[in-house]
Amino acid sequence: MPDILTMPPGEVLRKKRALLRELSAGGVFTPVRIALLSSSTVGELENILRLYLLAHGVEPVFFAGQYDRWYEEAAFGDAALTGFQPDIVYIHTSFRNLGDPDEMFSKLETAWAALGCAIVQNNFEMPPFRVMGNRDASHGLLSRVEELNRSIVLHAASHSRFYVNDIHWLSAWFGLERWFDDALWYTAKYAMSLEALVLLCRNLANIVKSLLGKNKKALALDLDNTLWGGIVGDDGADALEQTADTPNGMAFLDFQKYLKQVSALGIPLNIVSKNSEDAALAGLSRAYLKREDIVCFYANWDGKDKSLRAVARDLNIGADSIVFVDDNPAERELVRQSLPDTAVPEITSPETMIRTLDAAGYFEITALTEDDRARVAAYQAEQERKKEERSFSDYSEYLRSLRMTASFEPVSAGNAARVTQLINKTNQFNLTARRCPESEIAALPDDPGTVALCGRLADRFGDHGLVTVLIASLQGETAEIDVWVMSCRVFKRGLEYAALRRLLELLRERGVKTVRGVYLPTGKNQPVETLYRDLGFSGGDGGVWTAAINDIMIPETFMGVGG
Amino acid sequence: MSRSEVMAALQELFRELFDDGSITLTDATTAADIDGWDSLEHVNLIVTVEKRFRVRFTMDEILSLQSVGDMADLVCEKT
Repeated sequence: MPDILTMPPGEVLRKKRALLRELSAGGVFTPVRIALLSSSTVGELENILRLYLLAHGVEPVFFAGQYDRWYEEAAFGDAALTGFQPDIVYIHTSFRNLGDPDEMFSKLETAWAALGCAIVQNNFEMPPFRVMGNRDASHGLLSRVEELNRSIVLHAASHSRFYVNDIHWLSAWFGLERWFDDALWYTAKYAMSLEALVLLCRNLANIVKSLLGKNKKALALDLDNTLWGGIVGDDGADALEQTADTPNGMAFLDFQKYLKQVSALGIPLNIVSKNSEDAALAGLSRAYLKREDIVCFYANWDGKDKSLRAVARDLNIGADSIVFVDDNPAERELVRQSLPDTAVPEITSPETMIRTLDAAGYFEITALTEDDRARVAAYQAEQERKKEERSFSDYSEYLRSLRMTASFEPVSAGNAARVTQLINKTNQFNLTARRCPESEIAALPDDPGTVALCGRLADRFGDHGLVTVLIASLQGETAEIDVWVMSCRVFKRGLEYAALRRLLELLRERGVKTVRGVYLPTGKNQPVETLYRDLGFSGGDGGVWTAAINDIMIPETFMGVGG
Repeated sequence: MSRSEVMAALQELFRELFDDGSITLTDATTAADIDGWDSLEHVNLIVTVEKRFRVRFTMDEILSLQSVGDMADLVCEKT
């Protein structure tokens, strides 16, 4: 079965039953509860959205509101909706029932204010007709729809946990002529054609999976005929097409510029190329992308699956978090066979590469934190550290040489966005795999029954930012560690020990005598399987470990601690 | 495309859409005969048929369709 993420919408409609069978067959899924509030039919929306979410490893439970009751259900605390306890409410309005744009916006504002969870809101398509012709753009309905969309975007800019499902862009991209289907509206009350509905679901699923931390994390790129035109080993670096001198050169140049923009979002670019290193570097020296834009650089004669594994190891991420871009179908097939969870888009002609990558939504950004913007530099620094590490025979000597400083602070309004992001996207060092909505994190500072701590790490190569979170709930003299996550970028530095030591200090101040730790296996968090045992906890039945607070054995750390 | 070719193509399309390789269509087949052919699925079916044969049905035509035979007639008329 080909990849649903790149399948044309008509094919998805035709194969939806077989797709459902295959996508729900196996694997570990993250659950999510989504309420669909709509002013039009949602039947097929529910079916198709489920397919895309399953493809991202997310298993939805849906609440479908009653037909055209979205406003009443959202605004007046509908009992069935409240009882459903949605993680996300999706409001599926459209041009079909827009009515007066000003009235619509005030209804929307009322509905948003009444909902206490994450909201995904459609903006509005351009009208399929123009009563005045071109003047509609300045004085007619079209201009009022544009104003309404502007208001929705401004609301998004000033409210967290509010996300726009941009059907304004999507319908224009698909073509309004194909987006609207009047017969389908009059006969079945679908707001848009079924093909458009498939695209809408793909777009919406990208937002949902991004909120659940399921974005891809890195790009692994081939060089010859992927980053530039030609074969550097045969043609020589000067003959490569990657400048504005030829049509192909322009396409490759634009692709490199696109990649540079992706990299600025915190997505590291890596090279996996079958070339001699010298030839590869010579090609890159004449490229728009520079060597310093690349984090891991593997130019050798090994299989690409081997180089990809090396990239995953260097970045300390799973191979399932990598998107592999290669023009050669044989290499793509090898990687699909050898690393079935790595994303491998079908790359054809150079002029189509940007669109193919863009449409797949691998890096859908729902929040962009300072940490994201600094991430690529942090990965670069990590590669420098690794070089240094190899020059030490004693690991603790190496740790000392890093001159690390850790600092700890309570979870607060100021760091809630990053804390939420870290909890929800961390897979490996994550003891319980609990996923928390930002509303829950934002409420922590006011909860007297909870101790919530987060930590940062810096060293002489750079600042890692906020990389660990611990949340413990208090029951009398016992504390249970509900959440303990740490970014894979700071493994093996001893930060987990410094963080636990600080947590225990805070727990002692609260009179805690016994600490319970929970470890729930997820298939991805084996690295911390024995953590509690190694720290001197005992038990482990049902994943619950216990220790008297004074019996916990914390290894020596090699860092200064502040905060 | 002859009418029997249209019927054969419809059968193939039904089998894929309803994920059931045992479906055998006749002119008299209606929604009552096929598991999963409800009002929701009817919409998807019409859209899929339109795409497969590159035709567009008017709203009146969609509303007047009663059986697979009607559908085949309409497709033949338009192709």
